[in-house]
Amino acid sequence: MATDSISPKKKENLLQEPTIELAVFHCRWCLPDSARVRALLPDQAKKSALVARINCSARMESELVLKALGEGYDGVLIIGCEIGECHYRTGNHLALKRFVLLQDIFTLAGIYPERLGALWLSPFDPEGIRKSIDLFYRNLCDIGPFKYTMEMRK
Amino acid sequence: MSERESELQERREEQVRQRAAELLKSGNVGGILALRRIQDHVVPCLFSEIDDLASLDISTRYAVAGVAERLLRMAGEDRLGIVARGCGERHLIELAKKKSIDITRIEIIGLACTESEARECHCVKPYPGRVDAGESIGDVDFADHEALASLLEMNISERRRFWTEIFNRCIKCFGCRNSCPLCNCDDCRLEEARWVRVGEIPPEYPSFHLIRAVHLADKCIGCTVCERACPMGIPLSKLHQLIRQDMKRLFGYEAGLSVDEKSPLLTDLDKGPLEVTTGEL
Repeated sequence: MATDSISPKKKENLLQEPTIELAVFHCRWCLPDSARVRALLPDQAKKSALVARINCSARMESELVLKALGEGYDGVLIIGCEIGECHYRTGNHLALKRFVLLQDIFTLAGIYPERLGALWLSPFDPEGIRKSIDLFYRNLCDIGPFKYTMEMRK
Repeated sequence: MSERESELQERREEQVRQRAAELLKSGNVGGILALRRIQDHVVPCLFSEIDDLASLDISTRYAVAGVAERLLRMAGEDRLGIVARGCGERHLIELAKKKSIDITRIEIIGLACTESEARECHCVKPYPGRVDAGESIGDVDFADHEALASLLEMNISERRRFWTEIFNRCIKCFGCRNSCPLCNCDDCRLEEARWVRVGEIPPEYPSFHLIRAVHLADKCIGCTVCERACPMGIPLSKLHQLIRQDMKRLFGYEAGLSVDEKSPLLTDLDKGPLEVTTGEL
């Protein structure tokens, strides 16, 4: 089954003490530095998170989200510029629509839509960003990990 | 099939042949794309002689839009007549939206479905814009409401169990993709090892099936060809039907209505075109 994709070590960890791993994709025009984004993550998630810089939130294809979940990440966060501030004018419009659609398909297919988050933010408010990410992470912790999860157990 | 139905069937077939013969005689089209019965098999066929039309068959529902796309690409400037049901016409409209075909080069021979046919496909619009054969039964609602409602009633965990169990039956034959006329990308994401591991069944959840679901979200017109092609009986059309309902709720968009309507996933929030400027660096 698909669960074999996780390495044995990680599997062991998961069974003992489920940790929540984040995949964060951030737009390079509002947050150019991946290290800074990682610093904004909650402490428990800092180490294991995948933080990747993309050229625009519209570059975030649905395949990337699905692949991240399939690879064992428990939540995917997309960070883009505020609507109207996109470097490419309408890139984040597209990302927003795609995000709404994906959350919807998640619900239909039996994945908590909370696993996919999006932040449309201004780079000048790091505390606000931190708070939003914290909230997203806490929601995820309530839901639990994706692979051996409450979606299956309950 | 009752006697009355088979009589009706014959009459429809005769009407299709008549219209096809008219088109061929007028020289307006280079050929007619339809299904042909050869012994006990039905295959898509390009009719160019009036005499051949005797073997034309309309009893099978097979999506010929994909064949039409390839034919038009090969035919240069020639126009093409196509025998199309309601769903066939909507396939052509969606392909024209993608600029895969030029719809002005197509002459549709409209075939209206009978009630029993429409019921089988859970169709809601079993007639094309122009009806040449059969009688349109108008807008109907044969959607499988019971099954859809039972899916919607489930909570998230039940739904996940339901779909993982069903998707685990998948043998990755690509039947759903191959039969779908709207899955016509040259390079399919489902074949790329980057997105879906190659040579592994059942395919991983959620990548394989949900990638297809997302790609078809703004294109699927609900012809149920994928479900009929699936050897493992995966109820794909139910998933697509639900997604179509949500596309309507979220964006007010329905696929297959007109060529000029743009997919909401290709427009900005004000339904204007996406800007492709790169901005000043």
